[in-house]
Amino acid sequence: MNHSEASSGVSRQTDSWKSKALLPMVAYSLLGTLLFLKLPSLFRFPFHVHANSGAVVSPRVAAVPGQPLGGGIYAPRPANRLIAQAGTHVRVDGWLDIHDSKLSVRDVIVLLDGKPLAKAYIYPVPVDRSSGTLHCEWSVEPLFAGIAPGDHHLQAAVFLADGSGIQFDDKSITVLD
Amino acid sequence: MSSPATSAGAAHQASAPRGVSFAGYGWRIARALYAQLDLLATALLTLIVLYLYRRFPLPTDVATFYPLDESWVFDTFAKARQGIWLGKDVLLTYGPLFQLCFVPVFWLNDLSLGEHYKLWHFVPIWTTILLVYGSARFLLPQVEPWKRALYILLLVIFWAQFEIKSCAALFVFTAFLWAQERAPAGNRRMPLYALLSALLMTAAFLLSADTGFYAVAAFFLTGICYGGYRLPRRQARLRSAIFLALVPAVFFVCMLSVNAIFGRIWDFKYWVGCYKIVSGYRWFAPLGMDPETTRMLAIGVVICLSIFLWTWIVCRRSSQEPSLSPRVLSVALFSLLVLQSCIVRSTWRTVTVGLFVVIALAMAFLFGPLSRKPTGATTGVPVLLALALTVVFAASPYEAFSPAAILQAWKSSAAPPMCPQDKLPLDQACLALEDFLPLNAASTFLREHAPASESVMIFPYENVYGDIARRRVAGGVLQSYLIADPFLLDQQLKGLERDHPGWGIYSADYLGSGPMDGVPNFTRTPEVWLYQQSHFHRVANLELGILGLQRDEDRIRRWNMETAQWPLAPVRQRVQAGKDIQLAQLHSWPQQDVDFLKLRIEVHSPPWWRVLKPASMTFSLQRADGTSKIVHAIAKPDHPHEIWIYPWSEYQLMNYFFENPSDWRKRGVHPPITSISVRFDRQDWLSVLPSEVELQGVDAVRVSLR
Repeated sequence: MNHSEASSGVSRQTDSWKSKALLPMVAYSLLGTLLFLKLPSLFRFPFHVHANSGAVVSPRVAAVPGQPLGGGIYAPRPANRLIAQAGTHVRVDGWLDIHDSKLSVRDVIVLLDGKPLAKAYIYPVPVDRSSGTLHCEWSVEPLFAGIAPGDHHLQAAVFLADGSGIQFDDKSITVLD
Repeated sequence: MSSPATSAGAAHQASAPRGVSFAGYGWRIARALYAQLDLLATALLTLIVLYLYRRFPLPTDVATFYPLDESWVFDTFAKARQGIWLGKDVLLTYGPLFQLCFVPVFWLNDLSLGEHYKLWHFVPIWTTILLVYGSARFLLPQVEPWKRALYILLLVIFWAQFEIKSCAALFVFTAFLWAQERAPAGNRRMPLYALLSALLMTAAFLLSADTGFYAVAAFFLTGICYGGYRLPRRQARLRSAIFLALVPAVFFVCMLSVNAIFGRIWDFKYWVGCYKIVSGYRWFAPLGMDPETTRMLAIGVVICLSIFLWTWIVCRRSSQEPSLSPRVLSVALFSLLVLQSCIVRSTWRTVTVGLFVVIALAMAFLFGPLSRKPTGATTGVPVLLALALTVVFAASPYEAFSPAAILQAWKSSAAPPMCPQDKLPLDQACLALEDFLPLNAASTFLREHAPASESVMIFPYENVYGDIARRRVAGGVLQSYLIADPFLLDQQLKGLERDHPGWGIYSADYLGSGPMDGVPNFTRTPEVWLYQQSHFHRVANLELGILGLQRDEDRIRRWNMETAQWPLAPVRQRVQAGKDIQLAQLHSWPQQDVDFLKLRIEVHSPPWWRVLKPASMTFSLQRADGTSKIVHAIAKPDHPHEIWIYPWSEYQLMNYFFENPSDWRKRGVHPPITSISVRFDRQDWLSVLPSEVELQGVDAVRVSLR
């Protein structure tokens, strides 16, 4: 009888120990599983985005899935072409609409006849955000030195964080002597 | 008082199966290890990071080079190696303790750009692990070790931002909570606790200005909350009041000690600098919050406040934990205070840094009181809720702790890596061509011209040029964009005079540099630009928009600035969001001798801008040829402010560094300015629109050589 009581006491203690161990085991199993899963974050970035993006010199990232980015170079109408004077700087302005949350924009580059000319400064413009599009303006003042007078092609391209580039506009520019 | 580890170990001892002979010794070891499970988890995380640190490849591949951030970080390390201490010799948001956190800097033979990336990547992770461990010990002293270990693992692996400042604020606050629940109980211990509290506040200030002010706020918040709770008990009330008074007195002694170490006992330069930088951030560096960040902040705050409320209700219903009420109150108030960090500069990262502290405090309630209070089947619910929230919001683990990343580091070759084909190596870093060219050109110029013993002046903020060249960057404030106050300007100019730089680099906006938050660097800190322009002349065009400069003593002697006040009547106008406000018509004033415009303005704002942030201010200058110039600017609300504007293309400012003054204005056309208007825009829902704007005058400024 005594033996039976003692064994039931040990059994109760073991049960208690098991029940106490259940929650830690479940919790740590879940933690272990999470470590191996690459779950998508509910938000655009994971919560713990690391890096030195605290201070912003120019915006580099934008939002909302499903649609491509778009943009262009502003040019006076109706000619829809730009004019530059050799040996001087020319201000080139444009815009960039980014719709895709997965796009991480690194730079907007202005190219002359396919060769990189200068990196643009990008700045956000407050617009109606209900559309889900980030509208940016960009601006650059490249020096038109050593460029033959005449007609040239001025292109604008956006470079993404993964290194790929997308040209989004091509305008004619006349370089005066 | 029993230690948490002992009590938890004892609890476990009672429930462990007995009488199993072979397990007797093993159980004792297991119990001892179990009691220190949180410490073991911390050690494991630290060792993983140490392993990855040792396997970190050099040269390192730099995905994106951020000239502003890399500059202050690299320069902070470089200054530590040069024996220049933040706070003592140079002012920044951070203090000397921050430099000491990166202690491996002193063990390196040479601090390269690549090594700087390595340290900046790993040291904040180590510091975060240790501070989170310390916070867990203070917040959850009575819970089972497995819960404390799980709390640490979840926070570090999934939630942490590896930002030393915010983790230190969390640690200091939790230490004060712990002290409040113990300190005033006995008179003998009170002086010791007071000394430790004061030392903690001093250390927080020496780490960073923000942490220091959070530490002071945390001390008074906890003191008042716990003091209020003790009001009915006279003896306890008296002890709380003495404690509250004693700590500031000891803290003042600590301040004097720091002053003495920094040079002069009554020189409060460091503390004034801390105050000026922290108080100025709200208006000189505000940034809007995008909709997704707003959504994330709202969800985070609602969930965390709900947990605080749940804890409050549970503790009101229970009489077993009387200290819980002031703890919930302190935590809720401190969380609201910490959210200030999210309000001013509302990038995703800044918001998550602030929110991390709130999340850590909320999770502590889930692992502590809430998972202990209910009995039976519901005991595990709060812990599982913490895990569920991690799955939903934090998703995958931080890269350093992902098993795949660790395995990859294990498998990676021990041979020195090469740069990818599209990158170029520079100072143990692989850089994209557009980053490589300016860094290489400017650092080579400085290395070839400035002797190693000499300092260099860099405008606006690319100190990294000097650091790659292994030259000291001159100035009393580490980054010019922080200079938003006469005191800080004075420190910067005194520092430049003290260091007497012989060579310099000027980077023009939009070409060689970028305006911070759209405000041209000349408009942000005109006095520093004028200092460089008056002391240096151009000797080389290094890259597009980057000039190599040499000190010119003759130029300093001959440099002259004339200011003419245009007789305009002061204007005071009401402000409407997004509407242009005409401030001045300048048709009738001669402008052939004008280099810069200096607008004397005062922006009148409602007082709540001090807890939110001011709206953005944009000036529009109409020119006679029909063109216009848009200039973003900053001004401290409710204070007279001078806004300097270069009315023409910003790149033309480069010409002012020519040796011959006749070249300063020769390139480009300067059509006269016909009118000036201003508009204010809300950057986000937290921006405060001014009520009125007042133009007190417009000065025409001209610089020349006599």
